[in-house]
Amino acid sequence: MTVDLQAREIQPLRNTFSHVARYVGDDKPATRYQEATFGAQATSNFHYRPTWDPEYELFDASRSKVVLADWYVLKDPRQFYYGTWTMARARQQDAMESSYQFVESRDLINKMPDVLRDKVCQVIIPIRHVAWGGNMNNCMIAAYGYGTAFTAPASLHAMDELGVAQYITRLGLALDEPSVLDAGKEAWLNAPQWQALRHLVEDSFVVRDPFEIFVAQNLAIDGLLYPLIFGHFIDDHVALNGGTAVSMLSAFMVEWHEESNRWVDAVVKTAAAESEANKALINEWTQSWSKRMHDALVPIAQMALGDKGVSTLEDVFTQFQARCKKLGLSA
Amino acid sequence: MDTTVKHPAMNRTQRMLALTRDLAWPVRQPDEVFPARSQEGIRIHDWSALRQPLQPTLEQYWKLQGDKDKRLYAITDAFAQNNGQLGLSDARYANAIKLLLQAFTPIEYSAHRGYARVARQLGLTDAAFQSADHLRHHQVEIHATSHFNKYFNGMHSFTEWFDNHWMLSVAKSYADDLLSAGPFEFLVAMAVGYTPVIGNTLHVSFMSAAADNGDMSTSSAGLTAQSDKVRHQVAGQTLVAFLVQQDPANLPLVQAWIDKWFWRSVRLSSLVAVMQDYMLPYRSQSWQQVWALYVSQPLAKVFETWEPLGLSLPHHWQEAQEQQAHVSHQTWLRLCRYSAGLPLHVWAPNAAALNWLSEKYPGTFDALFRPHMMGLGHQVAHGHRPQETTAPVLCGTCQLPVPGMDGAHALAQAQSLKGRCFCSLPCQQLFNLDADKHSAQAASSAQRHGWSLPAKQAVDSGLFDGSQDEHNFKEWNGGAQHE
Amino acid sequence: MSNVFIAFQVNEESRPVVDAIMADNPNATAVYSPGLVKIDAPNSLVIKRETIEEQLGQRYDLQQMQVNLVTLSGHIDEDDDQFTLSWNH
Repeated sequence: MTVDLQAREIQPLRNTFSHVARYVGDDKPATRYQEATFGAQATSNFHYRPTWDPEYELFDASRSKVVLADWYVLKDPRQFYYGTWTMARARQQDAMESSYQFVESRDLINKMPDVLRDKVCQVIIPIRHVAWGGNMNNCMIAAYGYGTAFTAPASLHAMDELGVAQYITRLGLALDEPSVLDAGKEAWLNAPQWQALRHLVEDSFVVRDPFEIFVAQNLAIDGLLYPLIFGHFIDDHVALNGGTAVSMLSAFMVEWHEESNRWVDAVVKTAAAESEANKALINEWTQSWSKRMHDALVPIAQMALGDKGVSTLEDVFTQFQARCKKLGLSA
Repeated sequence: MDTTVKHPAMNRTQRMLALTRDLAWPVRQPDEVFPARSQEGIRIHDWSALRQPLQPTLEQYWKLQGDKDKRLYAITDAFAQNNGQLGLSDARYANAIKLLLQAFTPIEYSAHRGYARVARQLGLTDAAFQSADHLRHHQVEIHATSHFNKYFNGMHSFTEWFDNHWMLSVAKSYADDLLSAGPFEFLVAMAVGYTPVIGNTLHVSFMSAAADNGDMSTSSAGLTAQSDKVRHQVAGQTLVAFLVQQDPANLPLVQAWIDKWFWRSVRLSSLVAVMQDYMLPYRSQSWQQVWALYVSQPLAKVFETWEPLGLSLPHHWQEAQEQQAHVSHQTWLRLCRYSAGLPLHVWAPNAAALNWLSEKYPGTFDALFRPHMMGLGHQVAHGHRPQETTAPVLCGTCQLPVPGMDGAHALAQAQSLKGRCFCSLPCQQLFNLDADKHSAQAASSAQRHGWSLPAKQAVDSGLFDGSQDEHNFKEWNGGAQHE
Repeated sequence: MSNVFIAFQVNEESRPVVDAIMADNPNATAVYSPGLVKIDAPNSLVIKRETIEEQLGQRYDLQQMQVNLVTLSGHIDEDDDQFTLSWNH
């Protein structure tokens, strides 16, 4: 007996789950991003309150001063769900692995001038702690934010920040003995050039508003740090002076920053556009955190780029302000 | 895959420390940054003593998880493209998927958010990995079952049912209790409750049996989720020992959480029990067997190794063992009595099923349950099946129906007792240990008592025989009969 | 006698791992059920990277084993070359 599959009209009863259809309609199948995101977080009938924070519900939009009619408006333009995220990162890891093999097999690190190697270690290694701070702050958003559209990408972003911290650690171990990590931590804790940045990161840890944390960490802190350090210092200065190897081994950071800015920008722009009140809040946060970050980066810019440090930082800051303007902000 | 981050001067432990704990530093304002660290009374003197077996670097993690998901989604896609649901042993099987989505998929989401909190509250990077893993599990379950949702009823509004239906109150109560817990209680709960009791049964034995029943999609999702859960199991057990070893003050706290969460997980597992014994048309191991092989034997061994640390078997271990011969049958009978208002189908087990149950539960099944099952078969055949029209009274702690408290009169009684009715002595004892906290549930129970399946969802409930699911499955298979 | 056990999904990737375990642990027994293989051993079980590499004919990272790992019972001790499951501390 032959079975003609096409003759069997197997009509679906529906295209997706009803809590997803509420957002995207039911006239065609929903995407995996949509099915993973919309309506995933419970909104009502909680059985308990947090023992550690009883004035809030288990998921509570009022933790933020930002007000949105529906937090699911904060969609991720990359449409990452866990699977596409991890597969993308696996490809990037493959590329980084190839770079490490290339650098190691040609002994490129040892061909770098010692002075440059030392400078790189001095500037980069303490930043592994800033990246850990990025992990902590994005865990905070994933934990206390409202709505899966906002919190799920933050959870993945937290892992990415940890990935950066681990790539920097790996780079340090490629450049020098393990004691270089201890030296970097010592500088982070005690060297004068790092204290303003360290205090800023620590102060970000006591912010309780998940959206303010988003603005502080993902827009202001990373938005200035990456162009200065991974852009100007590593990709320009270090690469041009015999340290191409370092540039290769930092490629992930540059790529990742550019990719995730699409998400960061979309979230900020959408939330600010919803109301004058949101816009005012986000403006204020952006201005105060970015000004503070700018000031904290002055000694680091000088350490990294000498005479050109301050002017380069000013360029970075000007570009940051232009970026904010495109998002509807007036930083 | 090459192992990353090798350095001749560092062994694995030193490397992992450099990549995780060493990233943190003593902050200026620890009490403001980590207020939850000390709220539960747990004392930690040296975090670096916490071992991290199976902990991957992020590079390894991305590589491993990328491999798993590439493979998994290829299977999910193929299953959908080939209309894999046609190859199910029987459309009755779909009801197991319904219960999975309604009860357990939302708990994965809660675990995801809960671990994110722990990561932040304790500054613990391992928890960040676990948070990402549970997000993965939540999503792969939705993606694997998405295709079934297009063709079967009882799945489309699983979040609505989780929040409102009394049948799922046990699951939401569990999830919300997890989320309401402090970070150390949460970690212990997952270590001795969810991961060993639910993970090892639902994601190991049930998912393997799902493959047997033609469901490569959900089976693959479950088994791959389990590959993460092994890491969690190991991390959890390491953590429990660590907590107890850090300070003598921690021992009674950890033991109390072990007692509570083992019991809560046992109650929740009644839903897995009914899936294993009643919803797999192609039968494999019984729930009782699965319980012994994958829960009680391994856990008993773990507790044996913990005895020198001062920990004992969970307080209600013995009651838990005794339940496993009865729980699936009791649960099935209850679902049948209430089926008119449930978002899934029920049926009378056929002769082959009854014989299998007799064989797997020698003595008890025939003495206690076979007569009821045969009565059920008789009622179905003659179209007279008494159905409850009001919701049952829910246990004030675990939120399972209290045996014998059915009907409007019982509801009124329960209201006058302000929800202080319990399914068992252990649940009553748990309630009394934290009465203020658990009394908050009375409002949720009342809400569920007052909620019923909307009229347009009638097609999701009732008997399998004569249902749209049954009709469609026959049609799709060209009218062919399945056993 | 207390067993340790480890279970894997059955596929091409896990086969060399299972074969290596059986080769290195003469007292181990493997039981196959749909899609799964469960390996029990009295008291302890060792998994050696070198043996897997011999089976596979390629370099292998022990962490890769996790892709198909389903469950286990026992205390873990691991380094880059071997992975031991046992009830000894």
